[in-house]
Amino acid sequence: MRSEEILDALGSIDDDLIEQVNGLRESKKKRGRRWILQTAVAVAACFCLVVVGGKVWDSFRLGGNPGNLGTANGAGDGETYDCYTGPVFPLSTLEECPGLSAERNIDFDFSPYKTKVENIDGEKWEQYDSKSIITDEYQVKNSSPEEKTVTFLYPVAGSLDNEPEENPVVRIDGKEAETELHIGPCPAEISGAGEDLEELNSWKEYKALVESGYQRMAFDAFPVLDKRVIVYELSQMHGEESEEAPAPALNLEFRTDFKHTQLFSYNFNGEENDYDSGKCSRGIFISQDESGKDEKAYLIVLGEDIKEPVLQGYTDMGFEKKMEQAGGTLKRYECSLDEIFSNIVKEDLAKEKGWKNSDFSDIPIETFISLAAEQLDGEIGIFRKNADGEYYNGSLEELFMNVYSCSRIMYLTFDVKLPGEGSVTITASMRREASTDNAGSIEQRNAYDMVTRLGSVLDFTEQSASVTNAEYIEITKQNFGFAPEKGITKVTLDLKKEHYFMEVQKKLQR
Amino acid sequence: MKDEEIVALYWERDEQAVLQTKEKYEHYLTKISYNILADLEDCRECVNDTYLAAWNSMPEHRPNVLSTYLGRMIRQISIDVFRKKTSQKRRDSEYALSLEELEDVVSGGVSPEQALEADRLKESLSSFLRGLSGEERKLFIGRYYFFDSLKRTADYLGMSEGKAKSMLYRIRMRLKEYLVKEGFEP
Repeated sequence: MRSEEILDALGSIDDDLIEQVNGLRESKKKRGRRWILQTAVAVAACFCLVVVGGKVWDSFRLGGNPGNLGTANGAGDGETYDCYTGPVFPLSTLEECPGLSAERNIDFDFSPYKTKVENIDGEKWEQYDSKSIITDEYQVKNSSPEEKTVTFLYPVAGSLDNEPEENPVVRIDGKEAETELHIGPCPAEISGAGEDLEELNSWKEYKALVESGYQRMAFDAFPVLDKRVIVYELSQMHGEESEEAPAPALNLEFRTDFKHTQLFSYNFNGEENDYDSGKCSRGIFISQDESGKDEKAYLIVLGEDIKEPVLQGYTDMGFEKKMEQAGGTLKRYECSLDEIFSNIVKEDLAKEKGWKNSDFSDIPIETFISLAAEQLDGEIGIFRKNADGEYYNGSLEELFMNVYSCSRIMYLTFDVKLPGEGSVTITASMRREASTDNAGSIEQRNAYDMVTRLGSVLDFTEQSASVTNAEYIEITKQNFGFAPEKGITKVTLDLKKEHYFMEVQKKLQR
Repeated sequence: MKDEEIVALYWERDEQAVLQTKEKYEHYLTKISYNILADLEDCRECVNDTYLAAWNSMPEHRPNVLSTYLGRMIRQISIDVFRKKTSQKRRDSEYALSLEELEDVVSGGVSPEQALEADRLKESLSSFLRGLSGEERKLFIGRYYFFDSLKRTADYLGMSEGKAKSMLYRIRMRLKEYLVKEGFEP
């Protein structure tokens, strides 16, 4: 048999099977478990460093003007994107400060769009970075005669896995300021936030988030997970691979009453849950590497203990053919959810070094644990179902991934001394990834946007926006009013207008 | 315009049918074709061929869901183009990647008996898919029917790419076992 035959046969499957997926593919809203929705956003964000084409002679085939392609679904309204990085928010103060006013200019520098030619394996590849260097500058004036020390805050839409360069550097009169980071909760975990805020695809969803009192939550204390749990810790797994046992695996088989028990697991590769009979299992491949010998897996039981736990070896993850030589040590103990959770987070962070690539991950491990606890706290509840109406599996890896990658608003705070009847210049500089639709495809749209006053208590007297190095891009849609080809690279913004956006394409360079 | 209205235009032999189809489904069809061919020029030809095939098949067909009907057409048209042209030039498309991934399931040999068993394979595959969980089934169809990239499939199913990859691997292993049980030579 050949692969083609299977793919051909798939072409004849029943319509209803295809239609189930059709709906998902065409939906702007991603589906899935509550706690992994934002993971999907972050995964989509990975497309944003665009490698265009192959050899130089045809390298811009995918990046060229798409003509009328992609317009059937892409409304191009500047509001909703599959992969939305969030708007640039305005500067604010922690508390209202009468007598303060501000002028703002936001500059979008498109120099990252300049083509770079790299030699990879003897072939020339043209690349560009779909980011804009943003300089958000404020002249803050103090009209009162007294000097004031004010706590400012600069909100950033992003996630813990932001690239370091995406995180703003704040300068006061040109000198880098010391900032403190306050991380807002994952929107999906906000009680009563509603489905629309589980995933942030448009500035209006950010608006709803801000208007729900989100900023206060970012400064609230984290929850304490003091509930008692029973832990089943699986370690010292062994079982050698052979012709008869191509992928040795262990299966923890047990029964549970889902009305009285909630399960969380870590490091298992598969699970079965029969919600009617209560028959469950958690499976794991036995690592054949030396490095995997110390591997552990955990089943955490919240509520009534599981019944009849049995650890069984199998020749593969099909769990049909038993393998008596395979086994492991299953230890049962009780502790607080907080305690086991902290241990697992530390274990996970030690395993996943990726989070350390981010500046925001300079946050202490305790803060990460607290953020994960905040996320877990929102998941506690018997019989929680996902968007498909299916029960979720309690995978802690997915929860960690979501903590790491969920889109949220983070607030940088810093104190500024404002002289009486004087002013200071505050700038926030960052490289901002484009929001995209149809990322990685021929119809990709790259967008950058900002909000004028949303969430800010500052009295803005004037705002303007500018573009620099616009020769590397073509603005295909906007409401700013830029016309670089006519020399209009700076515009005054209407403060009554809440949101400005522009969609751009890389301009062909020959 | 609703699907039934577009289908009615086809039945009335009104050329607006093609224009309305183009307006509503060009993006959808291009995406499927591009996943298979990874070449915009070829995609455009396949999309046009699909409009022609739709024009020639309605009447007699009266599909309820036009996207599924047209999607099935462009999938096959694009695969045919892929096969015709693949001997001339290796393509790096999602279809090509899907072929490689499914080599886990098959041995690559072909016999006349197997060729005759194509219909039975279709039935077995449908049964296998119906035996999967909803999430697994959607993942498998997203990847191997629509040839969406792993990233995109994981994205619209709301799971991590790593999870999608390992889940697909497990499904392929189960499919292999299933097909052997059903009497197919791997």
